[in-house]
Amino acid sequence: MLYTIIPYELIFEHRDNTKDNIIEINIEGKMFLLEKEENSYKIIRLYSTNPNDYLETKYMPGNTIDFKKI
Amino acid sequence: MNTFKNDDLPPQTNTAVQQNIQSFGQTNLPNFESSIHCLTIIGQIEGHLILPPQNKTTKYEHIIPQLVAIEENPQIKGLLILLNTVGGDVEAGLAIAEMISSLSKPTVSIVLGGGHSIGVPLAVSSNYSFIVPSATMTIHPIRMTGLVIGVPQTFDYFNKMQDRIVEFVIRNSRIKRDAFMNLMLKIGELANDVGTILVGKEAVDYGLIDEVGGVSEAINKLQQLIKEKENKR
Repeated sequence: MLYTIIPYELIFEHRDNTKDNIIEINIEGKMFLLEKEENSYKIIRLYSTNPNDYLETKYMPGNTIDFKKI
Repeated sequence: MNTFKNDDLPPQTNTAVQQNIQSFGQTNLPNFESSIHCLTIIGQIEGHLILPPQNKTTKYEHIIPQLVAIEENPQIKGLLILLNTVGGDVEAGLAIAEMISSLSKPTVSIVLGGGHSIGVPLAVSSNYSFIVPSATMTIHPIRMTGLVIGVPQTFDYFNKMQDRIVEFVIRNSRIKRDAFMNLMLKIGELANDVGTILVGKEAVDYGLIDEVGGVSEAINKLQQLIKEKENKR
């Protein structure tokens, strides 16, 4: 059951268009949401409660991570 | 006058910094470990149902283990909760809220932008709550679209679900049940719905949130709570 101000129609608008090129992975002890690109993965989101993790330039959203690392 | 000598610096950090500048053209980040962790709750709270990708979500299964880790880690002294949420799953929202309210470490929350619907129990779950002057909180009844079986039991079920939320908010804030129910069932405020929008200070006037303030006030309060807890020991 949802308790939200967003109408149900908007929430479930694109139900069938799920992206399959997005993965969640743990790198160096931190959780990332990555989008697969040709030869690398692009960082979309970092899940961490440590504010210092967000200051690290290599973890910034938009940065890419090598295939080999994963 | 004291003159600062370069030799006073520990040689190891000096070379590490120099190496970094030489090879990457950048310096290391200051080696500072924060004793305050921050939990950002944004978009929809996602529970049992995976929401389509256009929704920005905060997932139950990410947050709960993080809260357990925060409770267990002796280096973390306090938790700051940043809220900008439009609501979401009732069970997941209440689960996260109960986890936050039962943490033994000091917790402070800030409502930034919005803390609507299930964001209300999340905002009040901390030891002390802040709202920035421009943030809003929408309080409205639970509703459902789609196929509903039209029997009195459905109404009872709705009431029960709503009561779980109301009970949690009353238990964790200074607002009285009557006042909260009045806000929830008010007509004439929202264009197509029953309920109320509270802006910044209004939430404090009703006793829902403790204080109007931003990051610096929240961090100060958190540090004060941490100190109080340490002194008690």
